[in-house]
Amino acid sequence: MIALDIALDIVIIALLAAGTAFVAVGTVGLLRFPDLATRLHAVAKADNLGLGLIVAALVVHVLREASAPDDPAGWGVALKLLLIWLLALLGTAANSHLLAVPPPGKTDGKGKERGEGGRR
Amino acid sequence: MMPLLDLILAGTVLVTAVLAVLAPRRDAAASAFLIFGVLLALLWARLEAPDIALAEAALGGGVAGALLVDALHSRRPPQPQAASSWAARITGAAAGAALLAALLIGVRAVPQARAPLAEEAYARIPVSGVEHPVTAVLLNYRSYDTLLEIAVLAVAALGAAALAQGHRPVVRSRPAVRGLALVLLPVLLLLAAWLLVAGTSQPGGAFQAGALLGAALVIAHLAGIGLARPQGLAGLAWTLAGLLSFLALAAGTAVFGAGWLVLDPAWAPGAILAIEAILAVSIGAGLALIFLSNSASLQQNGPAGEPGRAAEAEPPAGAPS
Amino acid sequence: MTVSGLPELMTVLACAVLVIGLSAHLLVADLFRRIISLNVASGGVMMLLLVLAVRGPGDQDPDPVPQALVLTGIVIMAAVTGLALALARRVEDPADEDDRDEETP
Repeated sequence: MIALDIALDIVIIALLAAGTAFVAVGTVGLLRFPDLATRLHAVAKADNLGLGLIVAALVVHVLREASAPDDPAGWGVALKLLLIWLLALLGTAANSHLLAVPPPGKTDGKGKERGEGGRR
Repeated sequence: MMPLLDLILAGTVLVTAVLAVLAPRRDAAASAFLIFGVLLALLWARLEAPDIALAEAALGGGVAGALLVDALHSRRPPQPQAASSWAARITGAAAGAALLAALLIGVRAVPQARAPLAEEAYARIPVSGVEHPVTAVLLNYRSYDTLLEIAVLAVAALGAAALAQGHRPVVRSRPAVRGLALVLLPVLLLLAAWLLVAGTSQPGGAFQAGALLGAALVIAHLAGIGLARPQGLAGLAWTLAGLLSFLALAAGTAVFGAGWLVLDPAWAPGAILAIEAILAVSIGAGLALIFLSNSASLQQNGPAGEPGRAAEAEPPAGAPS
Repeated sequence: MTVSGLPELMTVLACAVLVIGLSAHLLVADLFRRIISLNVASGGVMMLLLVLAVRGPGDQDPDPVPQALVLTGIVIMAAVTGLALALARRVEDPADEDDRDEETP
């Protein structure tokens, strides 16, 4: 039992460390990359993966802390955490698309302006 | 021993506050302020105020964020104005430091023990009609405050609507926006309904639910889903409905009951939930009206020859709808 | 419930944020930044009220009265910010410039 606890601790810590590492890398990309497209590329992918790993760590933690292995409360929280991740994925995908792809028929002005803003 | 995380949180709150205030560019200031708002929500959770954290996340992060970002598209980004003179800055900093010292001395003089009002608030919860103390304060003991708050919101919404230059039309937006909205709307509505009902016994209530409803209305409108028209007559009616029904309740209790807004424990639970439901819709309609009134001027009132800005959320006029 | 030391730290932080926001509100000329400064100041006021709500010896539930005040304040601040932004927009709107020129001789 103690061995299982330690193993789960290691899993949680590894997932958290990997998740924060990905978020950190994404943030470095946001700060270091030269323009809008590359910045979006860094943030959208790395942050989603990082958030997913952190959520996975929390799910493991919640299921372990639940009083019984099939405690409905624990699974409820786990499902809510997953829902948060899915909504964040959806939001990032839609936001990145909106930022990266100019609206139809509006390729003038806006895109150029954004590009210059990014290079500053 | 202070947990390290609290120190980091306090430090980042201070840094973002300074950035939001000092950043010379509007977009930088708005970004810093939005981060400040999210950190505040975390801070409220640390200060054992989950109700406030929920409201801050929905209003400070959501509605205020939409308002500020939308305002960045102002027609004429003003030239950086001449900075205030050094004399003014030094005087201001000195006055600020003096005020800070006075505040700290004053706050430290406040007695450490909990105010007697709090004991009374907890003692009277059984007759308040709800189980959650903050909801009891808002809608029973101090419902006058809430009545006046709704009045302020209604006046602000009317003022913003009066300043609007036309209605922002519902236009079919891009598929990515529509898809996101179609997923988000049910989630937001479910969350708002849950917060409303849960507010009687745990953190949540009319304000948080209203903020979410307002966000949902704005999202629906921007995505081209004409569920409700916050800028139409119905929207105006809903904005005023909260104030009017609250006034009706006050008048009813004054005439038939024990006095202005004195709720009988027998029917208080039902009355509170009913008034909260109306308030939530009213707050949502009011906030959506404020946002759409703000962005309406952007749509209509631009000089020609500046195509990139006005039509940002709009497809070409000929798009099928 | 609160960790000892947290209220003291938050008291200082709240006063600092309030003063920063208020001073900037008075010193900054740009309308948009002035509105943001006012919001920062209101964040400080809310923090102060919430700190006062949790202060006190021992483990006890926080005072609900200041919390309700802050909740009311958040909604009002959002509404006022919206109205202020609408006013600022009209002030800066070049389309409204004409009548200003007519009035000034």
